[in-house]
Amino acid sequence: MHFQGSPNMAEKRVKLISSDNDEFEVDEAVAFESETLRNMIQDTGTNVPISIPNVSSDILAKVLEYCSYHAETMETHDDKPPITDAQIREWDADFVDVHPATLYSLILAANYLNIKNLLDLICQAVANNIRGKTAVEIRKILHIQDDFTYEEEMEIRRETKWAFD
Amino acid sequence: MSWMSISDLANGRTWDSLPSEIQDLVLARLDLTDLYNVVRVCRSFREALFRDSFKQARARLHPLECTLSPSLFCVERNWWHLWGFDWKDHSWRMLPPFTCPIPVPDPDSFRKFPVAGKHGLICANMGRSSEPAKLYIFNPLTGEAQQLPSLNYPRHPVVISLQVTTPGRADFRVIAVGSAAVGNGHLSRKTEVYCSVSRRWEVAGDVPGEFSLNEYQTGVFCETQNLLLCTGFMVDGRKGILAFDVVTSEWRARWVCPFLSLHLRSPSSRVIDQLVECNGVIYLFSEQVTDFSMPMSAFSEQESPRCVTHCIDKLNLWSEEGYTWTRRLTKQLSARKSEDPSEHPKFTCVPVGKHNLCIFNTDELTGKVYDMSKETVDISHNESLPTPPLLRRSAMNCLNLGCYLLGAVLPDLKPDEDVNIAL
Repeated sequence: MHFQGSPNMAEKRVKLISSDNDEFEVDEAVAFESETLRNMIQDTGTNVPISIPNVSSDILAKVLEYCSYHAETMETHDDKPPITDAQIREWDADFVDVHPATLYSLILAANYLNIKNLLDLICQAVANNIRGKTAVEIRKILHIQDDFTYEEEMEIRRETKWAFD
Repeated sequence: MSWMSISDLANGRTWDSLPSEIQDLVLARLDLTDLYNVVRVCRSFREALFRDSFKQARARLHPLECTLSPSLFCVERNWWHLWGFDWKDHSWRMLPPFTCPIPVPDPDSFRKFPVAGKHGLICANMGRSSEPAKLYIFNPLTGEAQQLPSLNYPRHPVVISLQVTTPGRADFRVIAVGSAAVGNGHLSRKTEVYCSVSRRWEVAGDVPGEFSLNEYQTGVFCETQNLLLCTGFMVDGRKGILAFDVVTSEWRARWVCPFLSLHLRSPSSRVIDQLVECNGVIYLFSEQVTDFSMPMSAFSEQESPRCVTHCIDKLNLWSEEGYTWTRRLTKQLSARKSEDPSEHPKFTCVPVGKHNLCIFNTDELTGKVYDMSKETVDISHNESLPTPPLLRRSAMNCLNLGCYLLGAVLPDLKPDEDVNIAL
């Protein structure tokens, strides 16, 4: 699977290898959205493919889709009107409208690749999912077990009664 | 191919599989109310509030949780409750109750003692009147608390001022001044400054006169001149402002800054003099009582006219110890002589929002908010605070609320592990 992010022949291209050995090629500007990749490229140059051992190809594709869109929003074209903040917000909202399992993988990838805006975007999306929900609903949404003992449960009820009086 | 990942579903990436530092990045984005709901979800969520990764993310995303003013305490069976008025959404907010390790104070002493608050930290004296002061610093949002070391001169200070030097971190300074005990003139002049970095009380210069400061207060801090301002008796014996220079650790020795008087002909007695700071502007709120003597009295002694007046005066400090007062608000209250207002000063003045002051009745828990940004403050244009909900009046400890803002950050209160601070 090859990902084509805004091909621009004048730019340097960077090769990336996912954990499942898929190769991706993107513009340097796209890779530079990631602090981790920027540091690696500055250390080793663009000749050697960079392997990203803990991000699978489907997630890496998604991350690069984000990076190339955001790299593109920074560019100015004479023939195109600039992308507005509202358009970016709309694009971001669509981007995170995915299965929670994907969001969790994206958080890890964004954290590892150090893409601050992407990490913030996804953390906010997950937070939005649990906003205003009860503890029981949150357990359901996040598939978490209630691991409190009966005594702890009682203690918490006492402590948090105020919020539900 | 739909990019919704097959491998992910196969991997079964779940919330639980995320490291807690990553989970904390998500939890730190919830608002305060949600945050205290999610602690009921599971152990890891409950512990999140105390994890460094959570605190760091929280401090970055929400340097200020809320500003609650006025705020009210009550202690009920070892649990502390704190309500405060949140101007932003015009409602009373209740903070989560907290318990140990703060001991339950003696209600009678505690009611009088000043409670100082700044940037989410609160400093209060929990000692009983029969024992030396026990100064605690605590964060009501996390329930974390530390007892400060004993003062070099054990006593119950009348002034407790808390300054957070680096908001969001645990760097703070506490200034404790004077003594409430009668017959200890030298103690009434003592000033000590506690620094959270050195973790020691340093003795500073003495207050200019004995018992110059005899009212419990938190004082206000003038940032531009690094001065702690308190109300008290000046070197010339009149009532006015006393100033402690935080940089030199000395009081201004000969400075006089008397209050504005109310009436020239009928002398008034001052019941309340309280400094309050709002957005960098310093005001003095006062309650003054004037008894008009009636020749050939048609009134009995009990019913002769008495006038209670609330004033708010703005204080401008200039260089070279200069100052000006400007009267901003005068409000008459009717009262009869049979009511002794000095018995329990029931009014306090607190900042609300950016440029409003609220005169708050601590008995009835009602308040009027005045916009101080106008050149002339129109007292008929005021807003009433809504009544606080759920107040168990009997358990209420309504404290010195003056000059007190709770802008709650979640600073790390814990001292370094290797330094032993008595807890």
